[in-house]
Amino acid sequence: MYASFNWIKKYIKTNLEPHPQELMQTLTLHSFEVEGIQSEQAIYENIVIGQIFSLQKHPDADSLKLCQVDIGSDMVQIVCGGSNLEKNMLVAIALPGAKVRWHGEGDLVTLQETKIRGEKSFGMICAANEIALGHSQGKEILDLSYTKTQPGTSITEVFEKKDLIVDIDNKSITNRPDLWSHQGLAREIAAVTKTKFEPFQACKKIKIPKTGETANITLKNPEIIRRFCSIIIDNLEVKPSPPVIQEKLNKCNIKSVNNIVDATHIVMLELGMPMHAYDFDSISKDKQADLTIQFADPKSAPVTTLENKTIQLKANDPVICADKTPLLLLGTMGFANSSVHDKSTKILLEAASFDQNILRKSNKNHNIRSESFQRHEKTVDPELATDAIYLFIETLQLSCPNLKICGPIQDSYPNPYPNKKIALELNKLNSYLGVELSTKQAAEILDSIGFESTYNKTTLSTTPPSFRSTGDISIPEDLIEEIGRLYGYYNIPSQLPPPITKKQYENKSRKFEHSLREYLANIGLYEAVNYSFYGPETAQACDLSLSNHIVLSNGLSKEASHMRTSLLPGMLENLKANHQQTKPLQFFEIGRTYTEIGNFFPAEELKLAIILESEAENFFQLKGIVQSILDKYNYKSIKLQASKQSSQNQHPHKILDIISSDKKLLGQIFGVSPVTLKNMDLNPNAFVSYAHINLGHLEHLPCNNIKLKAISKFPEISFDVSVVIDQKTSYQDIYQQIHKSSDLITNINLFDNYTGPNIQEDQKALAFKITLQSLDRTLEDSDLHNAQTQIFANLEKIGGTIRGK
Amino acid sequence: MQNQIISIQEDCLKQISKAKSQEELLNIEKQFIGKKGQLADILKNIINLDAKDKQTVGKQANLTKNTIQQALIKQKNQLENQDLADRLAQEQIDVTLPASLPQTATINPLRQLQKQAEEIFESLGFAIADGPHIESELYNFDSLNFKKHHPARDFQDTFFIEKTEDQKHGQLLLRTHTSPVQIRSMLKHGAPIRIVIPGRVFRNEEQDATHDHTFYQIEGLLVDKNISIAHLRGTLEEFLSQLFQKQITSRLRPGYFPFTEPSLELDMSCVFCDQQGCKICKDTGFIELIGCGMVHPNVLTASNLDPQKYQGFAFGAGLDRILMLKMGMQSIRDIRKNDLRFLKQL
Repeated sequence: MYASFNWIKKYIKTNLEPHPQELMQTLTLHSFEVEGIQSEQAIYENIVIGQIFSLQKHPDADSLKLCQVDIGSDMVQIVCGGSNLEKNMLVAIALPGAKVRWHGEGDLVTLQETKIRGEKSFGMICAANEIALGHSQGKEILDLSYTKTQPGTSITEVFEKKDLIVDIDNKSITNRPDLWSHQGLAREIAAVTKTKFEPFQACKKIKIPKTGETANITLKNPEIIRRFCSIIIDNLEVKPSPPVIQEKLNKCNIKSVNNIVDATHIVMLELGMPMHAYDFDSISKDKQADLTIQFADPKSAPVTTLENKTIQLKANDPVICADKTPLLLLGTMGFANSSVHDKSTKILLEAASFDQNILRKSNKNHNIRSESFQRHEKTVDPELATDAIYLFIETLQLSCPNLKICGPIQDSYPNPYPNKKIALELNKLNSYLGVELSTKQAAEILDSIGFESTYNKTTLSTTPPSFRSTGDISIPEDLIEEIGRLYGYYNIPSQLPPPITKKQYENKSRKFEHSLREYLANIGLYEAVNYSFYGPETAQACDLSLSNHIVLSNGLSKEASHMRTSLLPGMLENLKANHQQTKPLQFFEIGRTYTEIGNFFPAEELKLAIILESEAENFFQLKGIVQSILDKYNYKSIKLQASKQSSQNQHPHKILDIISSDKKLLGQIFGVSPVTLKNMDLNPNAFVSYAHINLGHLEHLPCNNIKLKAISKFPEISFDVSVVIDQKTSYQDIYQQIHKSSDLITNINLFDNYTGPNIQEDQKALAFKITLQSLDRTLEDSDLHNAQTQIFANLEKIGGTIRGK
Repeated sequence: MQNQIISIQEDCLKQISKAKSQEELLNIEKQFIGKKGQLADILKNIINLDAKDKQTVGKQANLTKNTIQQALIKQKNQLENQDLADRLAQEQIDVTLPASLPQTATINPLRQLQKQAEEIFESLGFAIADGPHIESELYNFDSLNFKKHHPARDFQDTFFIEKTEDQKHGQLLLRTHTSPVQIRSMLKHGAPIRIVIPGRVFRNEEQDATHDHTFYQIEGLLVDKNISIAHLRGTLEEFLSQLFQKQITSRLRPGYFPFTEPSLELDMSCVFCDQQGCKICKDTGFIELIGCGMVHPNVLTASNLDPQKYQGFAFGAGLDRILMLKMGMQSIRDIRKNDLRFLKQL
């Protein structure tokens, strides 16, 4: 929101000429966020009146002229293409250093002394829109001869450009409807600059008759309004507003429409109450306006708003109707059927305050964030209504001095503001702020912004003013905020909290997560962090069932609508994003999946996923990584087991289940199916292995304590065993057979796994180095012999042939 | 015979001193004092000598053998040292060639920052709390004192889940802030409580250089007796000083949040220019960083705590924003892309 400081000063008694930076700082520290304060003087710095002394054609450009210009202190040459240049004309000269907007468009540009087609140019002669002094026609420059001023005079002096434009961050005043007005800002600024605020005074010359015409207002749904006032004004002429009004609106970035609409906007900007002017003839029958405030009939015909948008009203839309015809969506926007037009001569003027919840609910239907709605949704102070009417009349009298007030103010006030006392204990105040204030100090602070307080040594009692009691101030903590901010939060010392009195619980799972991250990064895996959602197409490309997905009802796009049930799609995307990098690619992610399980809250589970891509088989590398995690954290009871089933996204022969001792599936290690790779636009010939582990489940499993074994002082003996066996017999089974053959076996090391020439096609040859050792004796030949015999026998039992037996 | 031995010794020592390799030395050893060497050859005839001469010659032969052996060892050492010296002279490498690094990778910068923040707060006595990403209207809004029709609840800001409303919980949604974990933690653990909640949050907003629909917050909550804004300031200044490894001061000013009263904004002293004024702090010397305040009594009540008995502070900051500040990044997108060229820099 933009505000004019000159306008604010109307309500401050003391002469106040703050430095913009200081004012901005003060307001930011005590009241609200100021985005910026622009001084008009700064805007027009280095722009002066110049008089054209002579004109010559540019030797090298037909459309340009060389002008010798008197700028008071000097005579300078400026190159200009203005179509209306004449000798002796007074013009606006932007000297080097001035900021202008080229042709009225784009950002401000700082001028420099330059050469145009080889000729020196000391600044420029401005068009009106280049220095925000009105509109420009074609190549015309701004003719200021009518000002009859001396060359060299600053533009700020000629046009009295001495205002400060304050740009306020709307978000920081969401809970302060009073600050959406110049009067409210003045009250606040007076308090923080310790100057005197002077509230609005109705112009004494305006006489509102005690009897006469009024609208007849029926409150069918009185809960809609806090207060509704109206007045009928006649003898009007619709025309452009006088320049002083237009300039005020311009500073606040509000478009000038006509004198009547502009007057309602002036009141809104000055006092904070949005108003509406109805064309009286359009809303009355036999010179009587009978209006009803009610919720809309959803079956009524669509209506056209002032912004020319057609909307269908709904049952929770608050409207005002004349003979069942809706005229206005209350607090939001008028309709074309009843608004002021060029020929209007008589109006009904509305000044009202509404229930914010009803307005907000209705606004969700149509999403019209008008200036009016932005104020009403915060609840406008109902006490402003009569002031608003007086100020409107005062403003309109500038353009319509003969306007006629047809009757008294009609006033329906079913829901007045609370006007309730709030008590605040001094102890509480100081214990919240961490400072030592007295009740007297606190009361003075509150009274400086319009509160009325009484106090004794320990308690303060205060009544918030109407403009602060529409939802903003209702409990003691609200008072602490007012006292704190005006005292200055920055004055509160910095202090560490007292030591803990209760031991805090430990988040073991987070510690595990961080430790896992560190381990995986240290062994060469990069951590990816992916979004929580993807599109249904991605899910299908990865062969994930759509039925257990949680779906957003208002996702940003088709690619971001389904909450992930697996980290796989994200990690495949990671491979894709990095496809130009040298292989192998190795990533991990620790993140949540979200699965529909039939309860209100879905299952959110923390998963670890690892993906490897390389040009050769990497399954065993991934198996090794998973195994090393289980070893590192001592999950000895967890087994990796060949899977009996496969899903579409898995290579059918490369799947291991990660199983807990109680047979729970904790995760899997698998080769990603080349079909899935192809679906995801990845190279189907690449080797991509993927593993996922449910960390939530893992954490709850017991970690075995490490039990250290003594090292034997007796020598070990080893021998090789070579077996030829059916290819389908798993290594795990063969290992089991060897392992159970002797208690003396301390190590079984597979050093060869051969298929090919010299071996039958469905057979494989495995070679092991077996180590035997005892803790309490030196082994003898018989031990070796017995172990060997048993191993041979066990292997033969499962169909093996021992080579070189 | 004695002369023969002397001549062998002389001859041998001469050869030893001329030897150029270990091999030569071995041959010399074999030739002179080996089992079939010259010395042994001469001593074959010792049986022909009388007892006295036998003793003298034997002694002399031993002496000679020792002398030769000593000389062999000495020469052997010299040759070895010479070899090493030669090798050292030959083994010249360019030590400025690139290092061959161990195969390690990196942790995502956001997670590194999160861990760092967690550790600092743990040192200040805070526990690390966590809660679901998919939340209910009850915890995400109602319990946090968002009035029913507060604009922040509007459709534009929140991702909703397609699911029938629950009577108690209202609609299901993606949490828009980490604050619902305040409520869940207070309901579960009661007071006094000190927790921080780093985590992922979601807003239905278009992405640009500094905004994303998914981002990371760190939220803090301390509820106890007589907790004040001074404690809030002290805690956050300590956190920031440890995080930026620099003494940080702060500036507190008014803010607005439904779940705190009073509500404040904490600006930290600019770490880039030491408050001399720079582009990052827009010449103000301060960087806007943390929204905070005293927990609203309605929030305590919604968490089954008595606001007459307990009070406390809460704060929330964007981890992404802190990260961008710490690492001097212009765009949030770089963190999100999981691009190895980016991750390898860490």
